[in-house]
Amino acid sequence: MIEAILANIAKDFRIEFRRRFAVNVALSFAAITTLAVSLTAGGARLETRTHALLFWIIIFFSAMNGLSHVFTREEEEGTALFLRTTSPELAVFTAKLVFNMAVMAVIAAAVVPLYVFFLNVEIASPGRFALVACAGSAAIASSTTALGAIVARAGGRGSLFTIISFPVVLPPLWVSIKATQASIAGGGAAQSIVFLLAFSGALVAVSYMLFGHIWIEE
Amino acid sequence: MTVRSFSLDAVSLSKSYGRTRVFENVSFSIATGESAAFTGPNGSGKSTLCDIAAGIRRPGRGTISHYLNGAPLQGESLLRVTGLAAPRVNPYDELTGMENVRFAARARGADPLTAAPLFEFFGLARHRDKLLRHYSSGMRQRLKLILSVLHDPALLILDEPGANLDDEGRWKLAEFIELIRARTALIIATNDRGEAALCSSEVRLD
Repeated sequence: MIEAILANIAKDFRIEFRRRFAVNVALSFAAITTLAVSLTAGGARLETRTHALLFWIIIFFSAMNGLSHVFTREEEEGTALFLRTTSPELAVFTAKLVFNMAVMAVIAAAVVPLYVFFLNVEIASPGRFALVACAGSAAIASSTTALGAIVARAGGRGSLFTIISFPVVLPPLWVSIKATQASIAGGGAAQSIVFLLAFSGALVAVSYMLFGHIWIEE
Repeated sequence: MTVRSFSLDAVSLSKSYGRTRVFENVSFSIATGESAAFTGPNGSGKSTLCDIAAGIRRPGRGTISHYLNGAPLQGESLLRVTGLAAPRVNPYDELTGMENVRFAARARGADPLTAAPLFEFFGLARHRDKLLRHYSSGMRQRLKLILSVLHDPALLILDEPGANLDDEGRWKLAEFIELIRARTALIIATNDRGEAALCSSEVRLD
């Protein structure tokens, strides 16, 4: 199983490295949106709550542009059946989850400095802010990977992915916004980070249980 | 090479998509050293039956059981002993032929070095490091055949194996089937009477 997971991870990253589709689309969206928000704000001093809200809106929609790609690509290019005949379903899911975690890490690594620079945000607790960004991004990736497989099987595109992901992503998004607001203001965010990590763990466990039903054709 | 005994028993299989019945009450058995041709007109469900036999699609009704040396197979254990080459099974365009082979071998726990003689046999040795998107349709079909047998499967399912192959490719395919016949349970889904004749029995879908 470990070898199958590693083979799938290596394959997904090699294909993405050659195409750079998911990361390029997500990063372009993140950069354009951050710039647009910055220009719209026009140097106005925003409240910490507004900063947290805008920051996570940018992260969420950037993620929606990149996360579903790893499964839709398999269905659109007709490689899903090849994958089914070569790899156990849990290896496929694990590799896609790792890939989506990496995409989220790249998005967060790009959005955090862009947002802080363009909107001139003063963060009282940068360490906590970074931890919340990491935990929130991990929660988004964990909760949407299996949904990406459902959307891909339904022949859906990005918009459908965003629609069905929103109710699942809402709890971690809400907690992430609260925790980001607290970290910008210098407050504690430990409980929120624990919640986000626990939420990720629970969603991954549920996804492992359900993925076989999504992946095997009826 | 280890001696192995594989068997597949399919009893009263039926499959429908919504209200459209694909096939009904299909039964067959196959074991190591035996071969069966799935034949029938277009839309009769040959490819669907191949998927069910490979364990990547569930039948609507009926049961299908796979055994290796008396032990039942399912999930990952079935995946490791099954090879499927079909028009809908597409390797990755963004990888080379050899990278596709390495991926499939590693995912199935097989040795990718076993692919070298297969690349030679199917005449793809010169093209193994080309990206798949630069392969012709015949070369793709040859690679699909290599990928399906890379792990020495106990059950080999070939759906329209001669599709896109030239005369030499078809001859090579027939020669390869003779080489592996003794230690493999073979299923060929085809409308080509020549390919069906390579099998010792026939499952007719109407």
